[in-house]
Amino acid sequence: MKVLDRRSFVGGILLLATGIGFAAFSYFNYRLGTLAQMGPGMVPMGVGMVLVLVSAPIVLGSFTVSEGDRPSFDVRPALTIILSAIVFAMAISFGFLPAVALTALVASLADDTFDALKTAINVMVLTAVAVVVFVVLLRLPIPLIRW
Amino acid sequence: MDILTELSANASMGLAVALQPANILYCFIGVFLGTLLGVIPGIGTLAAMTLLFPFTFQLEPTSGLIMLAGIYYGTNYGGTIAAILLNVPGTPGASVTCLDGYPMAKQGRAGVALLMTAVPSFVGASFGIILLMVFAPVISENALRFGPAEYFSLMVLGLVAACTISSGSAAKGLAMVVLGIAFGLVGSDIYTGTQRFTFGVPVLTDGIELVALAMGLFGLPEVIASVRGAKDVKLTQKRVTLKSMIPTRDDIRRSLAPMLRASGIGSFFGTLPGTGGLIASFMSYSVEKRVSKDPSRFGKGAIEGVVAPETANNAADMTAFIPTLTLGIPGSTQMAIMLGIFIIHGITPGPQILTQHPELVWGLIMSFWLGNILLLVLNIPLIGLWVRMLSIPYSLLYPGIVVFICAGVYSISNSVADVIVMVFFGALGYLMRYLNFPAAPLILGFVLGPMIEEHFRRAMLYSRGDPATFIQSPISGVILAISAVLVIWTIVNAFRSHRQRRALNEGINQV
Repeated sequence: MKVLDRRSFVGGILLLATGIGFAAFSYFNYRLGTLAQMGPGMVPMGVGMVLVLVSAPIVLGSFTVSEGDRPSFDVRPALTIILSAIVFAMAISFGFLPAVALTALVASLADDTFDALKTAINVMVLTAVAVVVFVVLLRLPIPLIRW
Repeated sequence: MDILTELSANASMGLAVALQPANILYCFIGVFLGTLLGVIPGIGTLAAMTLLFPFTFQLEPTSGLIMLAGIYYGTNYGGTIAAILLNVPGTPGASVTCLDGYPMAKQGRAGVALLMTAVPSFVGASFGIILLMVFAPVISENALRFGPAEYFSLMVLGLVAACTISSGSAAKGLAMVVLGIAFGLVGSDIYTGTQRFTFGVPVLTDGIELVALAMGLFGLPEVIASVRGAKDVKLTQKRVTLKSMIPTRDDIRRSLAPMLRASGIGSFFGTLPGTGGLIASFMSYSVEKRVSKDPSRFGKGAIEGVVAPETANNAADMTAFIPTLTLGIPGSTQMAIMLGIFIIHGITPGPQILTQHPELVWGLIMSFWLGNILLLVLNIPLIGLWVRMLSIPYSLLYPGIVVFICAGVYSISNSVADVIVMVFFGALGYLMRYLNFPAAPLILGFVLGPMIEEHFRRAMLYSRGDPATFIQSPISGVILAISAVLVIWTIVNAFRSHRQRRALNEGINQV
């Protein structure tokens, strides 16, 4: 039976839209030039159009195949891990120590086997290792703490 | 004779560089760290290379590249250890090794399996290095005549082949390559200096940082996916003694022919774009199964099933350097990262590299030998350490991986913006993983994109805007024709053979 492969369909549509957007943005914002003397916009516009060309078969093909098994979307790990990286970006302005400690702490919440004591010890060990590696060995020019 | 004298001159020049004490040290650090990270499930070769790249950045180019290459092939050894003891391939290339390595471990023969992967790995790698030494100068010489049109066509072929030959949907791979090229266009236009797609963000003027992109696309999604998967760790053998490693006479007798066959198969697939270690090890495994007198032993702890994929894997890892070094065209994602790192160090691989930086290239090549010897000598006594590494619960390890990813990306240029770029690609990478789109072609496109644009525009400039220049040059014309056939075949396949592909996948799962 022919079913819609949703993942290919959604991915293909997203790529189509990206291609159109990329080509249009290049056309309106950058000088195209001539084929002999290309401006900055010519190649990006071409790449956008090629992207449309190669993602069209994905969208069309997604109607004619049977759907495979759908993987579960690991909401908790995905959001927690990405959040922990964002925490690093925000906390680094207060210094290396808080950034590393907070990132490790937030990341530890990604799995459901949370144990306060183990996590606390782990965060401390990781922070120490990170300080030795990045500050002592790599001499990263960043203060440990900055207020 | 002439070739031999040249070869030995190159080899001794390379040895002189590789055997400098500092380079021995960095080679050792490289293979040690590579094995360490390779053992940890969820960190593949790519993640290990990008994760450790900041450590090589401050070294002088030769030492830095020697260390990085050590990480590259060191992860394979680590991946194999995890595959045998845990049935979890530490690196994708080791997944075939699981098939017979894990049953061997369950029979209490983990020690033999570990030794019989280390020795053949060395044999395969040596075979690959010799081919690399012989063919690199020959190809470089011929490639010197290539103009921009030929380079453009070669890169197109490399990209097209990379996504059509590799497993998975070729149409999706192709789309990912083009998306990667699009990301590669971000930054200053090389000819006019115009800022493209930078949106006034200063850090984007030099383009998207390769390490931030790679860590985001591979590092974060890999961690996210392993948090759930690698929860309960069951080691088959807590201790592996030296005595348990001694293979029987029968083991040795059975391993010799597979080792030779797999060296050839691996070397061949290593040079092809888009195939690399995984396909090489899979192919040599199925060849061994076919030529075996008793194929039913496979999957139940046959020694050939461990020896063949590991030999092929390591031979492929070495020959993959041939197109990367001589043409500047990487065939695999790992090589794309390697190429990117060459460029960051101010060295552009290509036909001129052998004449411009002979000491670096031959030093690097000879260091492969040193590194593989170090791996062999070190890993046998250190096996206990790796086993202990494997017994650390993943729930304690992965927060550390995240911290190292973030701090590593930040340390490249002390910029928060790079971390934010990495977060963006992390989210994109997980979305792609969920939608079943491959990330590896994106990296290839990203690294090659700016070079493709440069050669394309230069060729068009030379021909005064006549696109026929790409067909008029016979070399370029033939290469483009091959690429076109591959693309058409891909598109036809996207509509048709879903059933066939599934049959193939089931075939792969069954071996």
